[in-house]
Amino acid sequence: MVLEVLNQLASYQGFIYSILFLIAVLFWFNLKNQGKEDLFKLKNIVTFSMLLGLVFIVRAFAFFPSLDVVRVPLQSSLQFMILLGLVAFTSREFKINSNQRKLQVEGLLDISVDNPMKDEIDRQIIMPEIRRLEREKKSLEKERTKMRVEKKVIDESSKKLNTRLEKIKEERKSFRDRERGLSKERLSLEQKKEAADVQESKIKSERKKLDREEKNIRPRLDSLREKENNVLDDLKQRTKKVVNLEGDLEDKKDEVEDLNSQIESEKKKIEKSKQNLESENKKLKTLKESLSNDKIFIKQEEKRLNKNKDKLWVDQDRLYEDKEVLLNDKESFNNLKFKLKQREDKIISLEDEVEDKKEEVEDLNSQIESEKKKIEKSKRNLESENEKIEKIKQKLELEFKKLDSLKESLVYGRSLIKQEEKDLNKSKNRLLKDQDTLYEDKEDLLEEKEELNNLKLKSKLREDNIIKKENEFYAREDELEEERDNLEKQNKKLKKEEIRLEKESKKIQDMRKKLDGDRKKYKDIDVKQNKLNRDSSRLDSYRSTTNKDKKTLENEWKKLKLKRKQYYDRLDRLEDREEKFEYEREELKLQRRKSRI
Amino acid sequence: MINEILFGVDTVSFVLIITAIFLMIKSKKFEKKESIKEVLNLILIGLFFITIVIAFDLSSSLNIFESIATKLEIIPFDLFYLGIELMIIPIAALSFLVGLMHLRESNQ
Repeated sequence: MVLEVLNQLASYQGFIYSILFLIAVLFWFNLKNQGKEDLFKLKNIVTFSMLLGLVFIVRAFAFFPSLDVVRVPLQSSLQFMILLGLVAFTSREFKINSNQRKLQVEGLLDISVDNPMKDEIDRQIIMPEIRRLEREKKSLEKERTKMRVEKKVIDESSKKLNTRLEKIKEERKSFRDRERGLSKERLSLEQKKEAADVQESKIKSERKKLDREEKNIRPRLDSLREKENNVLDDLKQRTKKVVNLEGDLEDKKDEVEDLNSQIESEKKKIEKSKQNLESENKKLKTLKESLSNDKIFIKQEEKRLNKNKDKLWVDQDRLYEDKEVLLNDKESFNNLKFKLKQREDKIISLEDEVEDKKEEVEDLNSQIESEKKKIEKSKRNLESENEKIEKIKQKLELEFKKLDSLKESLVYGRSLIKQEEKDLNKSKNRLLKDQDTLYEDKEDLLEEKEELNNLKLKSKLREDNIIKKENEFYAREDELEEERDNLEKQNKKLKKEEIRLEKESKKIQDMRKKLDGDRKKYKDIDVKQNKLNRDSSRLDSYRSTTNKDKKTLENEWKKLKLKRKQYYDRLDRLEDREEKFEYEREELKLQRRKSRI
Repeated sequence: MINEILFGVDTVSFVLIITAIFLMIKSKKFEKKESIKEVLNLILIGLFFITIVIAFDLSSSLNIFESIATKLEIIPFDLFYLGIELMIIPIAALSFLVGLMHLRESNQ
């Protein structure tokens, strides 16, 4: 039941909506005939969409199922055709309108094309944008100056660091040289020590030799004494035995006494030499003791030197560590430098971009100025046209007033005619004449009315032109909106760049902090350097003391050498004397033999 | 065979009306006056309802809604279809008419 009712309703309503569609189609075509379709840019689209109503009019005939064989294909084909046309026209008009829009947008940028909107765009959009850009430029310049100052500071700090590094290197070199000198001195001291040991051993051996010689000389001296005694005994015996030869012998006795005195004196000399030897032995002992003391002192110094050496090695390790740290810092610093250079390049590129933008802005300014001039010209033209329109309006008002006055005069004339008809039948001819004149006036009025209608049409045409201009104005407004969007995008880009610059400034601040930390490290290194200098001064003092000791040892060594020479000289003299003594003895023996003979 | 051809034509016309609506929405920005834009909006509404009607025609030929309705046991499809025909097509026609009336009023 419900279905049947709904079917009936649908069939009735099909007719209703077909009527509605028909009304709409007719209404649209009526409007088209009136010339209101010009308001639309998409008029063909509207006509095709209205024609879609025909499909539903055909659809309404579903009430007759016998017509379905014709209706359904007709409906679908009609629908297809209309929709195809709709799509074709919409695409075509879309393309045309987009091209027109493009041309309008290009016309805004073109200097040769007059466009009153350009002035407003310049005033309201481009000028504030230029001001904003100038502000940004100033801020960028400030940032640039800041960056330059920071760069200078960083360069100075890098120079200082480099000088410090060079100083540290030089100090390291000097420290190494000192170390080498110390090692050389140590070696020389060791060599001297060895030489002193060798000399000691030589002295010992010489002493032993002297002892041996002493031992060898003593029995000789004893034997000489014994021989003397024997000789004296022999002489006594011989004096006893040879009394006669006493006179001769007394001389010889004197000689022998002389010889004895000589021998005694020699004995005394030998004793003295013995004493000297003993004193030399004592001196040698004292020297030995002093040498042992020196050895102990040298050992102590060696220990100290070893300790200092260990300290120095530790300091050297620290220095190497510091060097590695410094090299790492230098690498990081070089990396930072490289980054800074990259940032500088970026800033330079940004500055170039800003300069390009400036140039673009200047070009735009020049364009704007030219467009301003054109706009002023067009304004003047518009104002003159407006003045003309106002004049025409005033004329029209005057004519309307004249018409009103003429109407009033007509009414007055008719009343006069009626009065004259009533009062003066005689003056019919005059009235007829007046009527003719009135008809003529009427004709003039009709002509004036036609003229007024023409003026109205002209004013309508002007209004249409004004409406078209309004439409153009709206188009320019849309273009302005698009430009605003573009400018907002540019704004966003610039903000992003600002954020990036802020990030870079933060990075630079972090780098500064790192540099401060490096400076602190360098200060610590300076403290270590001072410690090293103190150690080196201590070492120098030790060196000076060792040099003094060395000098004293050398002097003592020279003295020993001199003593040795003197000893050898004495030994030579003694040997010479011994030889002389033996020679004299032999002579004495020969004399004795001769005397015996 | 004829039914199949008609179904193909209907599908093509469905695609065409959707493209036409899309192009109209895109080209609507070229109109400057707000009143004309409103008229175009009304016409677009009408076209949208017409697309719904075409879509239902297509679905009726494919028996999609019938099968869904029978499965869900909600309303018989004929009732549903008739209800849509009763509601949507007059709305489309009225939107066209109202748009044209608005155009006339705005010009006066």
